[in-house]
Amino acid sequence: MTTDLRDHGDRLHRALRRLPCPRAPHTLLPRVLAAIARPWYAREWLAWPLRWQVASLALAVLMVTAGWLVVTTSPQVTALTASADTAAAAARVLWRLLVQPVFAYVLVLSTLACLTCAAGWAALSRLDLTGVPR
Amino acid sequence: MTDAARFEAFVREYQDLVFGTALRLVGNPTEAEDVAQTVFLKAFERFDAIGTSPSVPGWLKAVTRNLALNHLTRYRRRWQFFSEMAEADERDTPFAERLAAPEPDTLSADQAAALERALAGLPDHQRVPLVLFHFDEMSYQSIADTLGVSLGKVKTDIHRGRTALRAVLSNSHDD
Repeated sequence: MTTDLRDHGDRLHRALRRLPCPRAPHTLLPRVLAAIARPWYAREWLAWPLRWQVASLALAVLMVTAGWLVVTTSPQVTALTASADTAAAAARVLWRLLVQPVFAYVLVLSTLACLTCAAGWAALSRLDLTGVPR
Repeated sequence: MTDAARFEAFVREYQDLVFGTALRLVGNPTEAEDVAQTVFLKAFERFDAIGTSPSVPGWLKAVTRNLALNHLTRYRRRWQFFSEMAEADERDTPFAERLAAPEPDTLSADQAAALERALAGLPDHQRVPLVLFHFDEMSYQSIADTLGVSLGKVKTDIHRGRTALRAVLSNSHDD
């Protein structure tokens, strides 16, 4: 029986290997030619030259770091932080009075809703809409 | 011949290989065309180095495979999750059913088309390892490493994919 199974596997392997290579659509070549005619920065980021991908990542890190330094040292930002502290204190009071008492119930209900959606999605994804046996 | 003309000839020569590889992995012509376009853009960047290399087909296949798998991971991250959920109730295929579908040794055009459709219609978690095994001739272990799943899952998914394809081949043979 093991031999039978292996034989069936071999036949399927041969059948798959004999399948002709799918033909590229006629639209592919014009799309590629149009894409290479565009400057690199007009393409999607994944298609940028590697050195520009690295450079853009480095620039992003630099900008975030510089932004962080500016935010933490500026006097205006210090004043803003003080008013933010006041707002945060008010928010904490509101949280304790209004939200905290019902938070556990809301959390449980949200989790149940998410699980229900996930189960529904799983059921839908298993429906055979193509007519191909699975 | 100018560089643009050389590259156009290059795309014409390899577009079926790249598109076919992408299509069998992602299972959708529109997405396969997107992947193929990105592959050729990468080839264009390195055209001076690879344009005349004898290893071009291998390089193109490897890049296409990686980009197609990235595409599947980025756009269909749920496939692993739901494939695990689907495992439990697909587990028991009767042994007799697995043996009941002998495949013919030659394929008619209709059978080939049916097989190609069935392959594209398999769920991602079955089609991808099956394509890597049968078309790219990767071992179970390297497929498991590439996809970041267990060896057992690769074997199970390939087995289920084959079972579905055998049924299609058998049906088209009966017709």
